[in-house]
Amino acid sequence: MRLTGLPLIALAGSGALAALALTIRFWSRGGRRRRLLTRTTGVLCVQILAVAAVALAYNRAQTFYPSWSDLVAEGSAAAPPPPPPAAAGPADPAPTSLAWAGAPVQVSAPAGYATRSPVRFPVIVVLGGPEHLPPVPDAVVVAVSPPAGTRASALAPVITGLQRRARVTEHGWVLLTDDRHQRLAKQLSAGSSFASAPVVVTGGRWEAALTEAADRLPAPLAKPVVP
Amino acid sequence: MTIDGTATIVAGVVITLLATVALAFFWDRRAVAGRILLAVLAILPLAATSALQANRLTATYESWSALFGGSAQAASLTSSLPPASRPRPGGGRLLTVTVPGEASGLSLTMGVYLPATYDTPAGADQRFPVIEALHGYPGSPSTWIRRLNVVRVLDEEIAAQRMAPTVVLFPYQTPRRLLDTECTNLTGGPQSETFVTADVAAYAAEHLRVRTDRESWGLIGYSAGGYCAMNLALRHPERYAAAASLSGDAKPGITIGDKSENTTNNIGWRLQNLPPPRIALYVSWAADDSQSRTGSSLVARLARPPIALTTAELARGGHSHALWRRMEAPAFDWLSAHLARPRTA
Repeated sequence: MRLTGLPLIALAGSGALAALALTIRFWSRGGRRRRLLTRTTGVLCVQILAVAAVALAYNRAQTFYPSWSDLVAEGSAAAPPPPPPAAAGPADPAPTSLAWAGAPVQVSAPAGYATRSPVRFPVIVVLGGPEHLPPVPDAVVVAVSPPAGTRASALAPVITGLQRRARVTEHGWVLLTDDRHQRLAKQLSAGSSFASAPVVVTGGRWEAALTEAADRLPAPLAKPVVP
Repeated sequence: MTIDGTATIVAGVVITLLATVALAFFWDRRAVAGRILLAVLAILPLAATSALQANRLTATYESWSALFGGSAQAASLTSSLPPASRPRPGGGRLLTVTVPGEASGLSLTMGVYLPATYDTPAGADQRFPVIEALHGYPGSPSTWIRRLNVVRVLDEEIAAQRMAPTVVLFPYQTPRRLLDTECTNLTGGPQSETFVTADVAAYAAEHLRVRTDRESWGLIGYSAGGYCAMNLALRHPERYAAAASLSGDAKPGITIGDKSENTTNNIGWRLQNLPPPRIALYVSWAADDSQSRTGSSLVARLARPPIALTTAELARGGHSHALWRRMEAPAFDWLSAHLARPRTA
């Protein structure tokens, strides 16, 4: 019988009424000992069934526990925690470049990247930056200067290639661009990996822009628990 | 004897039994007035024990003084915790503070979880991201602490590096335990929205080493707190970057006083009538909980970019603490992945 079904509520409710009627009917029957027994048993039955009917009806209205197994689960201890990720395995360095037909793609991994498996790192994508950028703590930097007229879809293999070859997060990325690649940057940042609008870097302030971008990134994290 | 101990419930059952036996035993020896008294004495402990068990499930009143003191001023959220809820060596700390709400005029108790790193030399020059954890109705910060064992969950997720070290705040959302505010500013009533957003943030900025930019502030809540989390993030994208809802509805289900429960405090209306803000939403529910499923899936259906939406539907679990104990670690992990990292000064 279903925990939230009407039959069970009706059973408890009519049971309470029947118990009440029987208790009244036999209230003064028999000797002292028998009266004590029937009255105590009868009143207890009325109490238990009445509380059960009210609780069942309220549970049905609010669907706290839709099934018997949910009710049993409430009393049990919390599920054991998922195990922490395995201790750091063999060194797993990041690639230093990615193959792309449009232009060279440089990948710069943060200090400690290779030994921190299974932790994954957020990404700063740099469009049109200088040739050599300083590494950024706890973030992977990908730098490319796409030729004029490049569309966002043409750059998609760079992003998927990075996700395949490096331990990077799926989202929370930041995009820095020079003023020449603004349109491309806007298209790219509409993708699900990017958490915010692109930052346009002017006057060659790349180092400051990288520091600011890193400050907005999430921490490097292991894969989340799945419910 | 604690208000939510097993011994208290057992005592209530025993008293009910004794009163019932007394009713049966003394009935014939008493006149009408005496019999009425006997009947009342049998019903009262039954009603009281039922109420205590209901309170035990929701942790609305975590102590006798909270019940009889009348206000939402818990002396301590951390005293006499059951073993599974207690902070452990090597884990984070739990504080009880009072937030003097200058903007809202509410002065309420708040639980504060400080991650283990907060007290280490390395953490001394760091400012941490913040998650505000909102309780359901009826409920209290103690529901998170005592029923959902949140301290242990946070310790484990942070130790496993699925979560960055984060300061987690557990504010009361109402000055009266049985007044359902849904974290809104009630017309002629408590200004809960102002308290939970402005006052809590002002307190944290002044007293805790936390980041204050929106990129590092998130919300989480179960049941009514889930609605609160989604609604407040949508209303205050300048304060919050992400929100996670466990079994939250799309509407408050109360009368706010300015009819905003049908408009600006109704998530469905907001998503259909106002431009969506750039926030991340995590919406989770159990498929067998019809009300949350309806509300949560409505939010999921209406959320458009730039809202970044993640959904998680569990097949079973209803609207229960057992469900939220399964949901909370994934939701905290998701939040941390959508909030900015601790900042080193």
